Amino acid sequence: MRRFTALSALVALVAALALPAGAATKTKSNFALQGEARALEVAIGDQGVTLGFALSRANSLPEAIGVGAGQCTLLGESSDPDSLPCSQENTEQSRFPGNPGDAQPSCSQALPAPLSDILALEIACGSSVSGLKNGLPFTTNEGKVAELRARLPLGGLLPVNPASEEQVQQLVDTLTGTLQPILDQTPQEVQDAVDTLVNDLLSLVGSLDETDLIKAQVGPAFSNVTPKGNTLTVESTSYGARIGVIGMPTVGADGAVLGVGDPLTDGLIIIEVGSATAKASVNKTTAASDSAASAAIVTVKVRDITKPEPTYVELSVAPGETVTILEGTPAESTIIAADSSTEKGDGTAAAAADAVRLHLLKGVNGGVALGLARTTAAANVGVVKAPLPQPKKPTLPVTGGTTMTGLAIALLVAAGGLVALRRRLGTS
Amino acid sequence: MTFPKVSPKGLRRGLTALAVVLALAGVGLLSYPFFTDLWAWKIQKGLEADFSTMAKRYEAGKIGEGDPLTYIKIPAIDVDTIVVEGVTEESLRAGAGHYPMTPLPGEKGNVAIAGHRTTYGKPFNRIDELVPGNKIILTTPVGRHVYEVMARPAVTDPQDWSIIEDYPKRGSYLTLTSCHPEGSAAYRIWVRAKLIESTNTVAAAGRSA
Repeated sequence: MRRFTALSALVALVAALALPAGAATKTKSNFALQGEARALEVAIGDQGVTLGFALSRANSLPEAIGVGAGQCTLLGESSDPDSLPCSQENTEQSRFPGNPGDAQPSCSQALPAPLSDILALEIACGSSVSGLKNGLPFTTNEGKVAELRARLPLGGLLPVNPASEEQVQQLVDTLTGTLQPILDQTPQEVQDAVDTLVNDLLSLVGSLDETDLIKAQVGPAFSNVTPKGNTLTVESTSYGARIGVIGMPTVGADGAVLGVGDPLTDGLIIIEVGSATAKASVNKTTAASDSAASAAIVTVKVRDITKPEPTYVELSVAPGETVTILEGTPAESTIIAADSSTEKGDGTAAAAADAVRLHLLKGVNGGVALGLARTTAAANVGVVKAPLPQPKKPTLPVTGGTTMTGLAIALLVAAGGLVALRRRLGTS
Repeated sequence: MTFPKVSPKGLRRGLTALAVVLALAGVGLLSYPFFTDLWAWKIQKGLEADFSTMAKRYEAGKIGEGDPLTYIKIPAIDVDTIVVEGVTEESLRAGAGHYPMTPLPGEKGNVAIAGHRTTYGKPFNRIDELVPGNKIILTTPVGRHVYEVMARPAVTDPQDWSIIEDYPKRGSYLTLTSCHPEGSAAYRIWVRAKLIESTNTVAAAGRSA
């Protein structure tokens, strides 16, 4: 709620600052709108990244500012479009007047080190366009990532580093050394079975360490300011995500581990986050305002590992509710479902859909914290009664004034009429 | 109040004189675009002669207002004319002019050219017909630069200078502007193209020599 109030106050301040210029034109109102959408925020330890970010701002000067970013370092509560820590390769900025931007997205796969050791991006893109339509500012922005994979170091969980052959061999030697006196007393079939078991366990742990523990498909984030008639609307949308945690191992007919499944389709935990929208609109002549918000709906599926066939237990998390699953295990995860709020007053409107918060695999080196589908929108308008003189702005060169063909024809017709009148007078 | 008596002969003479004045004005207005086209054609002929002597001045960056800067060819809309430096009313009598605050053809940034939509040879008369992929070829005294239209033309306010301001993306771009709709200066129509090929003809000629 504090963020909500701060957002409204900021918009009101911008509207107030826009007043002198707004009043200097013949327009009867001054307004300011701003919105923001963040598809996904990831924090691992003290590092973080915001993926899929869109920002829109517009006012009655008229000005429009937009940003569409694929990837930024973790953004704080408020984002200043002039100093965003976003990747130049996948970020597009636009501004009216000054820079119309580009609807064609700028894309790249880069993630800064050392995050790139843990996180892998399929592709991240940003696009942004700003301009003037019928004298009113508009801006259209999109930020998106195709797919994200997180690989957490399992060192904290295991007595050895599976990547180190030396340590693995030491573990095997210790195991076999300890078991050997017992195994010597057992039939050959049992000795073979234990050998297979030890190797399978090591290959499973090794494959988990080499696999992506968390995989996410994240929808794009949009934030747009659109004028329609006298109404300006700022709308921010984040199109949800699907997150898979720990792909389940595939076991062959002989009991050997064949590999690890895709976390998104065959994960221990699968979380589906719906889309979130925040929308605020104002009428620049009547000062009427409206707002709406819908937070993302969260569905959590947990694999029932007691059953041989893939079976999932489905949990619905109500808005604002906190749920913890697989408590006491390394895979313990907490899900905090988002809530939404709206505010409407005389000439002001604001809406916010909070982020869905996930803290996954808490037992694996602190785990991964995710924030998904956070959207905000706020608008403010003030009507100025007395119109003031409008200063004349320089125009682009005139390269095609009227050819006055119509006037020329009218003059020729008039001349013809006079000649006809003269003839009539001459004959009368 | 009484009106002076006018004889029928005097009235006839007066009507004749007025008809002649109106007819001359009508013919003058009707032929105005043709005269401007003729004027632009005459200027273009002079520019053609000067163009071949511009290489050294071009390389030294000493191009004055009204000097020939580049040929512009847009095969898709039958444009083939010389662009002069400057966008003042006088410069634009040649048909098309280069915004002096923007880079030269082929350089990094946003090269901007304004052209008449009606009158003065109306080189950008069919600018609204351009579509993505159309080629725009600028041939300067020292190089040949091929641009490709990125998106369909857009319309903006006459005060919107942002369209010719520096385009922030890395690379070289070209923006053409003209008046809109045809026969009116109420709005401006603009189209942006991206540089896809650039040849230094002086260097190439030097290599082949």
